[in-house]
Amino acid sequence: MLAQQLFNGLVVGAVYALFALGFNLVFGVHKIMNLAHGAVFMIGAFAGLFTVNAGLPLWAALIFATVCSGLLAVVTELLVFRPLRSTTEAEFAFLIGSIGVDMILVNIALRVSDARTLRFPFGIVPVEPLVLFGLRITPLQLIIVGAVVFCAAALAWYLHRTSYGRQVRAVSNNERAAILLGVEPRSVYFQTFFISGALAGIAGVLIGLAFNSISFTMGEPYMLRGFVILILGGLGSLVGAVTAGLALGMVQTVAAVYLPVGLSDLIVYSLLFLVLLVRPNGFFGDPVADARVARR
Amino acid sequence: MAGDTIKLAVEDDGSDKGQALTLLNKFALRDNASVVIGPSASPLSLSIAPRAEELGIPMITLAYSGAIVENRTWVFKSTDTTANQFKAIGVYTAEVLKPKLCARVWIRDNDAYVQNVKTWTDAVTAKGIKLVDDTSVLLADTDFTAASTKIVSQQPDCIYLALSPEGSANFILQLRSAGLPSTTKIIGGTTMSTRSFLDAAGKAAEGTFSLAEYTPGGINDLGRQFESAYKAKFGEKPDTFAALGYSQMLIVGTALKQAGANPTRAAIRDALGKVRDMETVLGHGKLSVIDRIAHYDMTILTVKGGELVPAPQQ
Repeated sequence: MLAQQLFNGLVVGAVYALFALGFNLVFGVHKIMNLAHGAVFMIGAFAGLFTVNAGLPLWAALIFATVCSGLLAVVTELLVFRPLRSTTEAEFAFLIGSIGVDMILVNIALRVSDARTLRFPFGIVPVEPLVLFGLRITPLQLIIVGAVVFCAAALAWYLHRTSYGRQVRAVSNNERAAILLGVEPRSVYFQTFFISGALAGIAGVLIGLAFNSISFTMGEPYMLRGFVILILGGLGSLVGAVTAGLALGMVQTVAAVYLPVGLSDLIVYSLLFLVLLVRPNGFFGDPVADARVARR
Repeated sequence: MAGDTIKLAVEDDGSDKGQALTLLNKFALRDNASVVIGPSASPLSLSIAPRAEELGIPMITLAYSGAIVENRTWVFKSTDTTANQFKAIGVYTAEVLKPKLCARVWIRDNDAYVQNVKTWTDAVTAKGIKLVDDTSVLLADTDFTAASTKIVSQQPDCIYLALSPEGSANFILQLRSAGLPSTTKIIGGTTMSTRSFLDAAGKAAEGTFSLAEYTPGGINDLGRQFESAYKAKFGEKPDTFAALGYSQMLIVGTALKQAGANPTRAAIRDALGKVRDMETVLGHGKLSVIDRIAHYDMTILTVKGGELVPAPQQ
């Protein structure tokens, strides 16, 4: 059973990682703690569901959710974060602004859904599990792991192998210096917010599919886990986000099975506290790094 | 009724305690209402019950918490206690389904689910049924893969779910994914005798057993009349909550009749406390108010062909 549980944890951790990648990207590059990320994730799930309910296939739902969430994150940047950037207490203003966006999006979803828990139609993904090396693996779990590997690899390629990625890293390192070198920071903000939102949207659809549940509150627990991953992996570290996401998924799953009732969360958050004490910058962060990606 | 015209004033408490209190004061002091029907949620009812007591106005709530009526004289409950209700599914599990090994899954951050699972557990363990797994989750949880894998590995004969309608459906789907055999009995409380559970679980709901206050189709002539009138007015079948609301109004109507013409609030209160063997649409069709709490038998339903039907051997 342990191997099966580790695999279950790996799948859950993969989605945590996808969620945290976008969250950490915006923090790493722009030092913005976007507390509306969970709401964007939730809107992605709703967008995917409405696409499927309109009669379109799942792949179209994934694309629509990705674009929709990406654009939503960009609109948030344009309407909320950009005007606040010139304020004296910008970081605090970002926090408050993002809480406001979160509340607006959650309330819109509450109205649209009538506070009901919605779900994708049955049969949209085959549910019959395959048995491989004694493990029961559903096609959906394979899709989740595959999508996460693809997204993480594509993000790494984008940041490290394209001129756009170089611009993102330059802004992350020093925005003023990047401007002097001819980088247009607005374009970088557009890119990072779009990617962040898009990743959240994909994660939203995958979670909605995996756990048969789409509700206006679905972003809240993932935000909490996003913070844990941010702290464990290191603020701004994308490698840290993926590693910590996978680790969190597996630790949480195994703890839920082998430890007494309710101890799973106790352990996860005690671990978080311990890491904050001994490695305040997380396992993949260091004291001078705003974003690990910036120095690659 | 008895020469009086009954005026019904309806206001929305917005699930807000302050708003509920404001409305209670308005009804009692400004509108001079004879009886307050509601609120429907335990936290709201608990918060305004002391004020209803101070004002000396009969209040009858649909909420489940027994604490709402404790040490009060003006506050009534139109739903039975959790202990009375969930004992029925425990007894049915032990005496009809007769499993040997059971697992239980319950929500630990909501008192109603904690009481529900405790009552069921007391009833089945008293009959010698062994619990092989005890899993608790949070109301907001949706990922049950780890718990499902663990439960399936214990090979229980029955699994009792004290979860929300969507949570129950989700858990069953994940249990099936984890390899739960179709022979394992899945049993639940009132949340599993709802349309939202059937919609969320789909085919996975087939063969599950649940506790119900209302039997779809109606348990008696009154129930059948209620069902057809409800469908004619709202275009859909009534669910448990619709039946509970109807039953609550039947209690109030019965009390008003008994209180006679131009009744005082005290007369209505006394009449509410004396409702006995009233014909209702709940349980097996009879209801009595004892110690300010409505008591009625519960029914057990099973899912057959995608619909809730009375379970055998009740």
